[in-house]
Amino acid sequence: MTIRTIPLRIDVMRAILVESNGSPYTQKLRLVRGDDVQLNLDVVTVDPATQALTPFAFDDGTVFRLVGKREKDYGGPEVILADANTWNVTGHRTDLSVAGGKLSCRFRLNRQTLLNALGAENPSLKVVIDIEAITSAGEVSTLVQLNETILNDAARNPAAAADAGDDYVSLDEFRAMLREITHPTEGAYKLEDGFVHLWDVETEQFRRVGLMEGGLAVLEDS
Amino acid sequence: MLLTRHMATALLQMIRTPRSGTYRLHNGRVYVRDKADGTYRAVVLKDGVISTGETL
Repeated sequence: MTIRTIPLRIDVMRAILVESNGSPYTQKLRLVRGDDVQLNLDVVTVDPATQALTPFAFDDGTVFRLVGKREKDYGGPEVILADANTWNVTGHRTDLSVAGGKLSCRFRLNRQTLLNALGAENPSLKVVIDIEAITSAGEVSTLVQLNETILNDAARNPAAAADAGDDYVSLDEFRAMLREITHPTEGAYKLEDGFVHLWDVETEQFRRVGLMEGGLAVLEDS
Repeated sequence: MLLTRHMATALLQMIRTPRSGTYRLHNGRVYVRDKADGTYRAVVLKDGVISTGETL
């Protein structure tokens, strides 16, 4: 799998992309092609006098997400393109540091399926992608919005990514996938009611296990 | 709210193999990491007694 890494620098005070010298970023991004993309984000503040960049520190409890929306319909439907678990994964970026404003986000996007998810009938519908931070207090802020002046032609051309393969799972399908983890078919364990249950190969029944005086043991009331 | 298959798979993979690395869920079995050598060993229950089995 080829992952295309795109470095971006966000001026958190102005909520815009900037160059390394603090000036606004003007290039278009080859962002929406249905392939795997990793955004390496450096979040900074820019000194208005000297244009010096200072890393912006996030608290440990802050999580991030990437959200697709219709342009100018910000109260309308939205689709999570990259949820918190695909952000800041160890190993995705060598200098990863949430406290140092250095973030990573890996995702794949199919514009056509995004349009379908947004309920769009018009394939030329304009979309925007928000990069959001959510504090541990639940406050959501948009760090920057990637709009069609930033996204390249591929972002406006559904045919370019229509066959690229990413799709969406229904809630029922996701439940089934999750159940295969909590209750694996012919598995030797199950996760249920907040307990780990192990299959006893002698008595042929599941029994709850837990820590007892520092050691793993079968819980008496199972 | 919709979830891409890519993200759903990544989320479930985090449950199977959490970043902390203390356990892994694999082929219907629970494996725990031995702090001494870092290997993962299956947790086995036999007649009410818990022991460890094969390594992952």
